Amino acid sequence: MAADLAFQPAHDRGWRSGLGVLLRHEIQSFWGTRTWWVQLGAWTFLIQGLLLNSLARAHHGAPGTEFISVGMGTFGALGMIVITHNAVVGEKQSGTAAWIMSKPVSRSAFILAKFLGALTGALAGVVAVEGAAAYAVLAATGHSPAAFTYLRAMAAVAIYLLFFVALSLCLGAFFTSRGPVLAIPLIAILAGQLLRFNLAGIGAALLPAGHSQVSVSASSGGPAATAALAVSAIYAVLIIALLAGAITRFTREES
Amino acid sequence: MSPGTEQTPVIISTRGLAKSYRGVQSLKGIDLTVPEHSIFGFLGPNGAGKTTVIKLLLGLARPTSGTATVFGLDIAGHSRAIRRRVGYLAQDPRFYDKMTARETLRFSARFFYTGPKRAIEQRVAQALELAGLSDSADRPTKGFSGGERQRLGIAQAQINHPDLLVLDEPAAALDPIGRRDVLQVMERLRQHTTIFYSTHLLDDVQRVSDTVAILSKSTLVAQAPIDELLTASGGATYSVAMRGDSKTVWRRLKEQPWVSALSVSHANAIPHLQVAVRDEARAERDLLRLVMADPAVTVLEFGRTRHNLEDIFVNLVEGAEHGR
Repeated sequence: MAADLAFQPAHDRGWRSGLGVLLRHEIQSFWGTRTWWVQLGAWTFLIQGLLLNSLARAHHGAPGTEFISVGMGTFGALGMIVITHNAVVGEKQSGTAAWIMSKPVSRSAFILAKFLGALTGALAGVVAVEGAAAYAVLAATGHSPAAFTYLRAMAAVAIYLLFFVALSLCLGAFFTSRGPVLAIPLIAILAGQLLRFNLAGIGAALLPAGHSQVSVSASSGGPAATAALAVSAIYAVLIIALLAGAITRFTREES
Repeated sequence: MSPGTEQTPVIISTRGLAKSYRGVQSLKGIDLTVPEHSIFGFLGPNGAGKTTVIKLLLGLARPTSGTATVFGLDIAGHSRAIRRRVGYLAQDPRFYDKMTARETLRFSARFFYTGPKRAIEQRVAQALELAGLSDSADRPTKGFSGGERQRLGIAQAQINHPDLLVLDEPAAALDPIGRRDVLQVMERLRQHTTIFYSTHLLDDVQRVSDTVAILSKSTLVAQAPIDELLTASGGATYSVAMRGDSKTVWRRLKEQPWVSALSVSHANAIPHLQVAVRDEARAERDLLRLVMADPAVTVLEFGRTRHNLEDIFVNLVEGAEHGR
């Protein structure tokens, strides 16, 4: 076993133990599979179809608004929930989580790899691909928004989508079956849609459904954009809190 | 350190290790000592707590009380450092379905080594070869049989040249050929590593283990080198196969104060006398002489009966149950 002498041992320590390997695996799982391209195709059809439909109906001079709130926000969030709901709970059920945990891997790394893998998928797949495609369509049809405000709206959408990723991971750490992990975020979106008409101001904006409207505000500029920034900041804090909850729970989990 | 192991470094040591799940005690304060380079068979009926011990040692579960060290490192604070030097095969090993066996081993290796790529590939190929999986190396594990998955489990468990291999029921789900293969792999690995494995297959233990511990109802009921356990289990028994009328022999033996029990069984119509004795030295000196002194019998076979591990296991487990 002469080759053993040449091995370079892994040096990751503490919470980063195994993070690199797991993240690479997550990214490969996200991008390297046929399922991913099928998902991308389906969501492109839905989101861009919505935009084209909106353009065809000459939607009050602002077809980008509906695209951002419903297409990118609601559909994007649904996509993220569908894609990530099984990330933790599926591995717990199948036994692969226990297998991974028998390696020198930190439990924080397991959760963070899931989040960062989904983050690249959400940012690149939904926000970048769909956002760029929609911008091109809008520009071609003479509805092009200012690039900076459009980017700001896309950033708000990204935070909104990542909130659902973090929520799915956190629920996956707490539950042992897929049902609640899938149902709770869906109920949150539905309840948000119903409640936002009965709430005003920041309360409405903070609802999951309200945030997609916030993304619209972010694209509008002016004071509304500043408020949108504040709501996005609150969502960013919620993402961190959910991840901390997921890590804490998963650390206590006994395989 | 247990008697008899003073000279051998200890790999695993537990003191009063206990675990409760929702108020139910699944492990009742066990003291375990696993010497280096042993093949340590951890025996017990299903549900005795074997897997719980393994999970505690690997940091996959936390003890309710007691302490344990692996390589001298406390399991509570050095779990990852321990796992860096351990290879583990779960009772029902699960891998990512879409990965091939080679990809699974490559993935496992990267937790321990960052490179060079050539050395990792070479190590992966060695592990595939050792587990007899070279031919199915590039098939997704989704289509693997139970035996193939088990062998892949062993391959991934020793991808990092572990100082300790922990195998949870490595042969339980296998057919006889699969079992033989797994035991052969274990025997090959013993020169490099200590093997701690749980099982309820007593034949396997008797075949490959040098030390055993028996767990029953969450309690450790025995722990010793296997030879010691087989010989020190309530006196010796001798077997005498003979032809002819054995009534006189029977009567004479019954009169001896060092004979504790007599029984007879038949194999191919030949009576085999089982003589349990209290004094081995007297038996070795006088037993055969007494039998042969009777001209009515011809002795065909004579020998000491080694206790079967199964007998000892059953006695200890049932004894533990009756003793509670």
